[in-house]
Amino acid sequence: MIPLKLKADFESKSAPYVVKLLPTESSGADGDGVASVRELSPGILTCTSSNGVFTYYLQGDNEWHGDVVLCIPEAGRVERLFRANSKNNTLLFTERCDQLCVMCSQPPREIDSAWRLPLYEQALGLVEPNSIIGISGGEPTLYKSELLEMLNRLGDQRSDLVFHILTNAQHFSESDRPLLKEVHAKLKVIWGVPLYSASKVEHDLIVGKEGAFDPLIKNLFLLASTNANIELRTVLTGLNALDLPSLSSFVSRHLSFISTWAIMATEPIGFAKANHHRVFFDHSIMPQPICSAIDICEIRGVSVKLFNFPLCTIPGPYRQFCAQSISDWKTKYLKICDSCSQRTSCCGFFEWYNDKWKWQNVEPLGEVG
Amino acid sequence: MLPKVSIEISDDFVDYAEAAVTRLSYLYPNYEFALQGHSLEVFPIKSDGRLGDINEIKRQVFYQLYRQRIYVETLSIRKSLYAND
Amino acid sequence: MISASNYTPLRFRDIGDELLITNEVGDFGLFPLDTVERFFAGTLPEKSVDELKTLGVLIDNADSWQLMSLARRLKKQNAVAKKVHYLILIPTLRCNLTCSYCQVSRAPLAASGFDWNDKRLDEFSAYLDTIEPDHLKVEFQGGEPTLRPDLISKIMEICLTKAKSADFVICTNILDLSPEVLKLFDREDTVISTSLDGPLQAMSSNRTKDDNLSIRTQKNLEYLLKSYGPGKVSALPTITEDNFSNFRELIDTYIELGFQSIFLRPVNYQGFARKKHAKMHEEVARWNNYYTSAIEYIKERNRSGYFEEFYLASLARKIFGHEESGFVDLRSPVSFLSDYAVIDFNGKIYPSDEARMLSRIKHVDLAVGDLTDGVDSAKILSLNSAGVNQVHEDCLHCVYMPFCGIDIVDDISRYGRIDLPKADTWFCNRHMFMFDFLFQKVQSKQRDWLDLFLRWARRSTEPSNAYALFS
Repeated sequence: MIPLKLKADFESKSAPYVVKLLPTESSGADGDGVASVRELSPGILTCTSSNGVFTYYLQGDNEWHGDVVLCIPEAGRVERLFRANSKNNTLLFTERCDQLCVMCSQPPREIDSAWRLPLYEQALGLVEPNSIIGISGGEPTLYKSELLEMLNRLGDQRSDLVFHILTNAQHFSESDRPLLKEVHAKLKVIWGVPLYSASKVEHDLIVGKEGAFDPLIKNLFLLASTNANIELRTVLTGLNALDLPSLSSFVSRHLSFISTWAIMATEPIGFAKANHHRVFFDHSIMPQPICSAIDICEIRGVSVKLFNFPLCTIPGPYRQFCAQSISDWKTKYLKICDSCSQRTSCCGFFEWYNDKWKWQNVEPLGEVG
Repeated sequence: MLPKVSIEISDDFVDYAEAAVTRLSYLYPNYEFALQGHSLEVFPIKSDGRLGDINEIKRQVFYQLYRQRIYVETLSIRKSLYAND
Repeated sequence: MISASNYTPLRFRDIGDELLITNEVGDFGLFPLDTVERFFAGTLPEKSVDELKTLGVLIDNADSWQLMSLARRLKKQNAVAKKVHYLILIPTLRCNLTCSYCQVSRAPLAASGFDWNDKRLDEFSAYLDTIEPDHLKVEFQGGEPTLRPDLISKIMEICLTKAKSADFVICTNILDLSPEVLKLFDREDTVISTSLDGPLQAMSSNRTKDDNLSIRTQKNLEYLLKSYGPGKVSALPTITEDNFSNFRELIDTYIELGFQSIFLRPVNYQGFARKKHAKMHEEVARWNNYYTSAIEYIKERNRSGYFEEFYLASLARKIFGHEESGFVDLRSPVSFLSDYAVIDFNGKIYPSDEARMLSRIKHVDLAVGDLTDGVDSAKILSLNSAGVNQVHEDCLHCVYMPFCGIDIVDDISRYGRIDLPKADTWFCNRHMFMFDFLFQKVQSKQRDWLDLFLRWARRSTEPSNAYALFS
């Protein structure tokens, strides 16, 4: 576990700002938006920029060269927005959401954080070339015009960036078509869009919003018509697991334009933990729906991936679909994993996996082949 | 030789009867189909085994009526489905 | 409940004791026999309503995403290729065999004036300039193209210069494997296609008329398979009624040689047109009987490895796997010369190889241009206009319309006309039979067949648990 929000001591209480951390001796350390950093001892940094001086203490990951951080002097806090040596940098665009998914790992909060958005854009201007940037929430498209316009401007300045944006796709409309097209022409954006069931009743129930299904499907067509790159995401829960084959048939029939379909194991935190009795599903003893869904995709030529499923919990022939999908800062391996030969190619477990959220068939794997 | 068959056509389908008769006459040249108001009469001219018994004749007549109605009623949606935009 | 604005086209047909219903793009479902009657009477059971909604037949409103999905898929299914990417070339009409079913599409070995000359090569090169090909697949047919390895080499060179990339198929009787021919076979961009009608005796009676020649081709085939592997060599049988009883030997021959696929297609005696349709029905029934026995046997042989009947497997891939088959003669709308062209020894351009044969016997002239003067787009247009099953009065109500096509050339070759009721044509009867066969297995849930269809659809010996594709 790597904490991303850290305590810091600021010399002056200015308004929030973002800086990129570079060592004092490096060239560019005195550039715009850059803090020149002295590492007093490992993990303890004093950072000086035109905005002032602050000191903070790294935890979990002591590599900081090229990090971009958000400084909130009033709160005495530094947020590590972009860690230069991580592939899992995600901006929490807003904590507000119009859906209330039964297994949400990041339950929404009605907090107005619109003040952060211009700072995020500044931060994105500072990140290392060719970075992959996640944008998540809450529901980012509650600030849809801010989001699309930001992407459009970044498309001019930083077309090297790749964005991976999680959205429930409820809020797009025909009028967004031109801007979406423009953005997709400039910038690679992967839209991660959740769909939980082929049945609208079941989908609406899972996302806690009546009437969510139809606009979602419609907007997937809209996105596709603007050359969007779409990663469809289905979190597997006790509510929808058995209907996965019929969802697979639906996806391959109607939504074959997607780039990938990600079938995902639940992240056992937030609402998932609270709703354990409805959400928990032990695929390790009942992998059939997953296998069937994959078979259907294989036949229909839809690319499919398994996210957050440790290799040992998936039958052998289907392990090739598993991806190392869990963000580094919240991955863990179990004691039993020590003797597993596949550990380095396995996604591992969520930090919050425990005895109350336990799959039966977890075991070390031998050498392949 | 089969006897003449008379089939009553309900109001819902009477608009499609003429098209159905044309189609039936083309598909089954060994039968004569005649429309008298709400009644469709089928005369076998020569049994060729293609329209077995009376029930089979009735079924094929109704199927043609359904098909004509589906065709007419879905034509505008169909055109819009094929329209390229 | 039913009004003209809340449903999309549906088609239906009795299968067993259920009603098969398809929508405009070929999604299907099995319903109670009285479903259409109750559909119009407004007395459908809730289950049927839900299933018709799933098919996009019943829609909630004119703004439904189901309409967007249908439109998008229709566009994809009916997309017409923008460029020619498949060429069949006949560099020579001469042949060193006289097969019984090929009296018309060959010239004697010693005849002159039946090979491409330098002028033809130049014209071909100029023709490629007009189509600006991206990737080109080129099939050398004949006659026997390996009589002129020098010509094949030159044509390959032209193709590789004019197209961004190209690969080649040499269709050959493999009677003579000269060093020049083997050099062509060695190329990584080239595969070999040959005729194989079964064991020795079938080869002799159909093709070589001489057991010694049959043995030679057999040895050559074994040699090619040994040197290049089965991925490089494919074989195609020509099946005449005389061979109907020998299907086991034919299939065994293919399996023993290591082939994973056989295309069981009936020979079309070009020009020996059938006069009476009563006879047509008998003839197609004989073929369908033969075909049924053969694929039953193929199913048995699949217990110990992968082996497909190519046409049925292709239909399964199309219907259940949503794969476009690409068969030139199973298309609708027909779009001759949009992606595919045949160029004869004399430079004439045809929309298909059957069309070339048909013209050869002067049944009808289906040439749509030549290398010298280019293509005749008015003639192509008039041929295409008869090839749209979505509007053809015989096809537009057919439950199999979304999967089927129209083969004008086959109709002309058999009946000399294209306006015979489709139900009286060989093409329609053969395809109705095949579609019925597939859907009867679905309706009766015959696991052994369904498993086989899934394996073929996935091109895999592994069993698939994808039964959702059948409902």
